[in-house]
Amino acid sequence: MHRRSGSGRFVSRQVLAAAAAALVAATSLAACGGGSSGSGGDAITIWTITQPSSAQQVVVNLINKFNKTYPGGGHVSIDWIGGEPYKQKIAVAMAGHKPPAIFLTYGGQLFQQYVKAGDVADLTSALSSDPAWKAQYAAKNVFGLATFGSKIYGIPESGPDYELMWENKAVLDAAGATSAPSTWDAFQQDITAVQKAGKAPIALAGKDLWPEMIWLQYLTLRYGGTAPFDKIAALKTDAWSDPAVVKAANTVAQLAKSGAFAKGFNTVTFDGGQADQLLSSGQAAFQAQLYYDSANMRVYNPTFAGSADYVPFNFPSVPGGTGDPSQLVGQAAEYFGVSSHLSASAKKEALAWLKFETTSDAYNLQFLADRGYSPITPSAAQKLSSGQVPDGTLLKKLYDIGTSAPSFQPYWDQDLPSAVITPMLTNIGELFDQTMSPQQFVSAMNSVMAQNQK
Amino acid sequence: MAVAVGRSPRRVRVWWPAWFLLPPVALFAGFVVLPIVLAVLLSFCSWDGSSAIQFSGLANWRQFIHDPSALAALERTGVLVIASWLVQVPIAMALGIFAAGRQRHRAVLTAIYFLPMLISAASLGILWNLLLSPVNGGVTYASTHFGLFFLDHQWLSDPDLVMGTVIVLVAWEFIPFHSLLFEAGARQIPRSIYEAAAIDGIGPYRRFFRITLPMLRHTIVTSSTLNLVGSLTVFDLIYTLTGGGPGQSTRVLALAQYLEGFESLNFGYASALALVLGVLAVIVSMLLIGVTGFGKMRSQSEGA
Amino acid sequence: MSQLQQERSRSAGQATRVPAALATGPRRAEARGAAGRVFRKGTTWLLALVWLVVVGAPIYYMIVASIEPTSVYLSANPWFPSKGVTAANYEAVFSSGIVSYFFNSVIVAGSTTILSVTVSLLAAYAIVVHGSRWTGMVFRCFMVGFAVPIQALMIPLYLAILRIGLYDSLLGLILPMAAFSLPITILVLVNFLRDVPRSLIDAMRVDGAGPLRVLIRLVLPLSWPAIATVAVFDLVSSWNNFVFPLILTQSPSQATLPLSVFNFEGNHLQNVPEIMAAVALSAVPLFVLYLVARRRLMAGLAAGLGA
Repeated sequence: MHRRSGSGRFVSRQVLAAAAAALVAATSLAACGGGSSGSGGDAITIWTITQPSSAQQVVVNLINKFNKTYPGGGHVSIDWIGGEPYKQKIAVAMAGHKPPAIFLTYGGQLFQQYVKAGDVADLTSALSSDPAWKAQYAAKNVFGLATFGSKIYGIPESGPDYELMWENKAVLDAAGATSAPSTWDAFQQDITAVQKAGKAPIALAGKDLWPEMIWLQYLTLRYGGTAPFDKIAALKTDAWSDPAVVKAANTVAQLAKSGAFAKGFNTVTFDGGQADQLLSSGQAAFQAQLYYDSANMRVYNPTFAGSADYVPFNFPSVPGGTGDPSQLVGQAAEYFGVSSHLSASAKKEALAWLKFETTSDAYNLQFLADRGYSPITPSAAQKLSSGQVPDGTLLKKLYDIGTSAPSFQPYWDQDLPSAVITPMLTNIGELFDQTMSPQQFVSAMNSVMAQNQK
Repeated sequence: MAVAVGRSPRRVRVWWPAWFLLPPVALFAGFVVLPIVLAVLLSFCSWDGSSAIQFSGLANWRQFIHDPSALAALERTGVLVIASWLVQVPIAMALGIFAAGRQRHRAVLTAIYFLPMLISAASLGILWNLLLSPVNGGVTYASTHFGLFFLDHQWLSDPDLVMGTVIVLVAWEFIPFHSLLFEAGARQIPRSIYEAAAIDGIGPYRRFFRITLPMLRHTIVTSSTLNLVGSLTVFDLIYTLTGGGPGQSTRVLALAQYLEGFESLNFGYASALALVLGVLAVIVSMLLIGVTGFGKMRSQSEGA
Repeated sequence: MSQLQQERSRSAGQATRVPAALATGPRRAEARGAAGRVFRKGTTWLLALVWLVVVGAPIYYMIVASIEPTSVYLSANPWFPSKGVTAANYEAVFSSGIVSYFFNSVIVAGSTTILSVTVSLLAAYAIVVHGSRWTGMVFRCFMVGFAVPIQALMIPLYLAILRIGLYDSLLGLILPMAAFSLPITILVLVNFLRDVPRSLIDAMRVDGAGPLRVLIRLVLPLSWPAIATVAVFDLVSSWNNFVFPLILTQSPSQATLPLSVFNFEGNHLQNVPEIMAAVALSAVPLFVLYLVARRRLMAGLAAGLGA
């Protein structure tokens, strides 16, 4: 057979062999030049969630400056990791007990688990020896979710992070409804008016589930104060039968039944801007969202973000509610954790870097505030209205709300055991979808409590 | 041990299979079998990913049998697997045979048909979530503005429709690969057989059932095996498309094991769920190999 | 007629030896055939066009999204960039260091594919040609690696790679990725290798050829369509694989293209147009390779089997 001898008709064997050899050579070179093995030696690697490249550049500039000026030369570097994969990557690193030198964390129970496993450094003494640093934060109880057993394990990475209500005032005006309703009755009247005008009252990013949770959490907080969630956090087996929780679930069911949530909400996302689009395009009137929704809005609809129709206000009070109507759901800060496997000198350097970074105006204004996050230092906050950052006045207003709050109730999905959070979110989704009645929801959650007794 | 037909005089025929099999087996054992063994061990333990691993015996397996959520996920997986096979194999076969044809236009079309393979599954989920979104989604727009009224449904929102949507989208993702398999298989059928059949006056339908189909038998088995087993582990697309929702309507076992592991931090139980999938895959592929005489390793072009 | 075709005709002869009752007269068949042919051809092309829309529309949508500014992509007409186009998304992708990601992807995907296909070919040849009970068992063992979801194996694999010192290196990506593509590659190759006529192999061996020689000179050219098909699949799936680079590397210098897509997914901000631009750019090299390889592949096949 003629094909047996020659192979020129196909990719010639010589070409293949050459390509293979080249690849092997390149690979061996690359393998030799591989990166560091985690947090060994004196290298200080930061793991944090990716940001637009202009923002990344701000931090990189700070790192270069620090490395030059730190006595003996600095060793700081940074890895930016996508938002969704970040949690997987950290989990895997922690499983191997090889955390990065510095990493971003929300604090709360998940962080506590890493602390218990001995992978996170105790920063209490370092902070006590620098009282000026420790006292400069304006938010109350700023170390709250990073403090376990009266030891502090995290340094604030950004200012107060909380949820509130947003509205599109133009939609309300057109429907003859009142802006920024402070009572539930006024809110319900607004909903009816908006529905009559043919618009959706509430934009809801249901696919992500946590925006739905926020409604339930705020309603519970308004109806019963902080006590109901304390029971839940203690995993009491009848915690969800608390009257405040039941009332909140019923209210949610009633809202869903009356069609108050925009159609198809359980597939709408927040991250991709779909829920924001509903609000900004005038198809919906209200959205309960993070305070930095304005940052996303600036990306998805800059005109609306800067307009006077985009108004934040506090979640309404409810009739017969015992909760403080000014209380916020959120946390005083997000944190940087530090690996406990660093040498003493590396730990010293890591803390020096963190102080350098988080107290600098560049970080507070150009990295945080420029993207719509609350700055950390009061001095930076003073400069917000000076026009250095976009929407500075709005940001200052949000910063003031956050720092004057007497306390925060942590997000339910940050301050519960992980094994409880997933079924909780799923069940909340079913409650909003009306595939679960409030009674079924309550008993389902109570059995989750029962299954997770410590 | 030597079963070779013919009179090869070399001693090498006795030991060369071992030499050929050493590299693949070593690579496979080191990087696949070892993690699988560790996962098996983990399924008998309880672990949250950072504290110490604790042996828990059959607790996870007992939990699986009594967990309505996990069993429902298993059932959904079954639906997905069977429906995927029914949808994908015929279409892929038709496309493969089409692509193996001679006309020049076919080359252009099949190049475009290849495109879905190039997009990563996670990005596909984002794309389709957008296309099917009630907020300015392309499909929503088309249903109202292009008169495609049959498209006017809540494809992702409606718990009764969403599983069907997932089946269709998974098919969209995998059909290009399977059609490549069938194209390769179809190209191996010599034209002369068809010419001979045409001369004998055999109609096109009979040609298909008497010639094409039998000669594609091996390809059908390969494609079916890969299809059934591949559908068991579909994850990225569903995760970015619906996250398992609404509620649990699209939570197949592959998603359940991810959620149990990386969200609930219940890695022991997650390993057990993952192994259920692995065992199912092994059973399916063994069955297919056994039932279709695959194990006999005979060329189908040898005489009976 | 070539010997192969003789072989095939002999085996397929059973199918074509049709009883006389089924065959009709030539002219009657022709007349009936003509009308049927038009109908079949029409339906074929109609269905092909339907599938073209089904496949092409989402891809088109993706490209439209990638050239729209993020501030309007949700309000503009989804099927036509009615509110303006921009190159900003593609600029953002390029400025995120995509060139180095691209080279890493080429090295990783290319090496993975070559390693996987070469090693699988050895295995498939041994399994098919030697065909003893224990090679059959080895074959079944490879099938075990099929469907344990990778998430369950991520942590054990990470720990293993860490222990052998290959963490954060390209080699530490190539070896596991090749290992995980072995089951599929071996399965497909085994299937196609079975169609290499045994008599040809035996003829060569009688002439004194060793297994390596038979593999390279006879089996390789004959199974070229299968090898090309499975190489394409291995290449595409290793190109788009992001779980392994995510877990087994951390330095940007070792990152591959799929990780670059995640650069546009920040904390609760998923810049979809930029993601679509990154995805489109990531797919272009593969598509070009496919077009080039396909032409050579078809040329080779036409000369080989069909003549």
